[in-house]
Amino acid sequence: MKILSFSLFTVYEFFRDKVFYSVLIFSVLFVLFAYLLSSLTIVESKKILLDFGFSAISIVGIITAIFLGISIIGKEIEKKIIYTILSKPVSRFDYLIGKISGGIVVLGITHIISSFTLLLTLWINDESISNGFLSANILMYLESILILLYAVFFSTWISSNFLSASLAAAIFLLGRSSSTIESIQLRMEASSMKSLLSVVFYLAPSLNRFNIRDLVAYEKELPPMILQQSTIYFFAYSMLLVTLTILIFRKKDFI
Amino acid sequence: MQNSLAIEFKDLSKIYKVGFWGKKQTALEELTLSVQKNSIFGFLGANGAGKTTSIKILLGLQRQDKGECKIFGNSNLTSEVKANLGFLPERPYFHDGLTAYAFLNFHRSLYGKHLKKNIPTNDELLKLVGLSNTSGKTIRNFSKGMMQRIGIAQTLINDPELIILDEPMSGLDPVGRKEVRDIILSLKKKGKTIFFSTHILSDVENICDHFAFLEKGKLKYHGGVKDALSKMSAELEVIFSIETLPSDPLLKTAVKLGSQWMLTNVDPELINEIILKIIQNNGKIISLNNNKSLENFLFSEKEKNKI
Repeated sequence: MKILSFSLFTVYEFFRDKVFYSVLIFSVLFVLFAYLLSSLTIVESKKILLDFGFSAISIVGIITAIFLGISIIGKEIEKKIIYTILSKPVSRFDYLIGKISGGIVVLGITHIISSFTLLLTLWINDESISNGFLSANILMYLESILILLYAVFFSTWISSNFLSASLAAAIFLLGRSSSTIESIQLRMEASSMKSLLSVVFYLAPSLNRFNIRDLVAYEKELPPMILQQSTIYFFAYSMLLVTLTILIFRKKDFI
Repeated sequence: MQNSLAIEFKDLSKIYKVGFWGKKQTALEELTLSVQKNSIFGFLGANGAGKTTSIKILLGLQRQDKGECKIFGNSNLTSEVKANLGFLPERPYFHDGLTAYAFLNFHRSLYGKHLKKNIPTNDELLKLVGLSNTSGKTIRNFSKGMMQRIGIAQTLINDPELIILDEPMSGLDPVGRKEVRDIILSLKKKGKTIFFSTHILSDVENICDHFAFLEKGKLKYHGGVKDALSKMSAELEVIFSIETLPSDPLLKTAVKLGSQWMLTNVDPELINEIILKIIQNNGKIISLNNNKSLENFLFSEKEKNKI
């Protein structure tokens, strides 16, 4: 019940925040720009529309995830709001899970809004919906949740919100480059740099698993079971990350 | 036997590691003190004395390195124990997009099944803290004093037996401080225990039954306010202005303070005579004070190396 309270309150707070409206306007403008660009080309307007539209949804999702992740708990620690909350009959577990689930709901709503904007643009342009449109959107959503969880993880033990946000952004970049990191370290001879790269490769989330945007935009065949495999990977990775966050948060001293 | 203590600290110690190299800094050193139920307890000390650290440990926001603390005899801070206490942190900040009503509703929801019956409504709480006419205003637009008062209101949602306030008067103007003092006194009348930290001696002197004085993490004094004041002599201090100081044995110890004169350690038996002498010599009494203040008490204890 208290988890639900925190969850609902996180959603309520976010929709009162100016950042939400900025994110929304950015998303709409980006998709409209894609529409304008596609209307200037004679051929493959749908591909351009989808390419830009998916990028907009992904960027908006990741920015929202980082912002949300550092603010839902980090801001409450920084402003000492958490003191009055945790001195009430509330467990740290309920608080953390409630906040995270609220963040996941907020991310879901922003993804639905931006996906709907893209759908609307496709419809105005009289274009059909590609196969895999839904799968691409679901995977982008899961990817942004992982970044949200990382931002929350950092904000529970790093006092600077800016540093937490930067680290979450770094994880995103590493995750997106995981296949490049893998190929570099495979080609390297045994050295400390190779060992470091392999550690980075295994620890950073493999975010390429969540990227089928190009395949959908260019109407290429999707790898079989990509949605199922990526979802299982997402659940396993996020469970580990949330467990680690809970363990750190339970022991945290609020100084 | 029923426990008559609301709070107990026993040998509580805390060391912080500060800076890049983790240099150790003692925040609390074997703090042992207790707070009686249905009393107002002032937790005195300068900034950095360890007051907030003690409160945070008591509320489970930090862990101690040594010792233990109890609330109503419980060393485990269970939900039942937490449901019976209210806490206002120092310089509070709340979700500022909320109105006072929405804010209180959110905090009310945190009690869940531990919410007591017949507890005050939002209207009653807002009336108690003097915020009745702010229902449509968001916390973002509250003044510092209003923020403090809405903070006190959230501590009283579940009609707790113990109210812990960390520097509740800090940053408030004299009117705001008096209002907070009045709220604390009204809570005591309802049988509550109020434990508050402060560095303002007069706040403790005016409303507290007991107090503790903390310095650099160490407890220097712990006792009743009345007891402490009764240990002070009844000697008086007179400040007066006069054109020429007469050579009278009663006034010979007067010390010049700018354009005024000050007589200290005056025997109360002689005060009428001294005042008469000053007036007869065209002088004017500026102030007449006694030594019975906590400030003088703590200074005299320090001089005697007792603390």
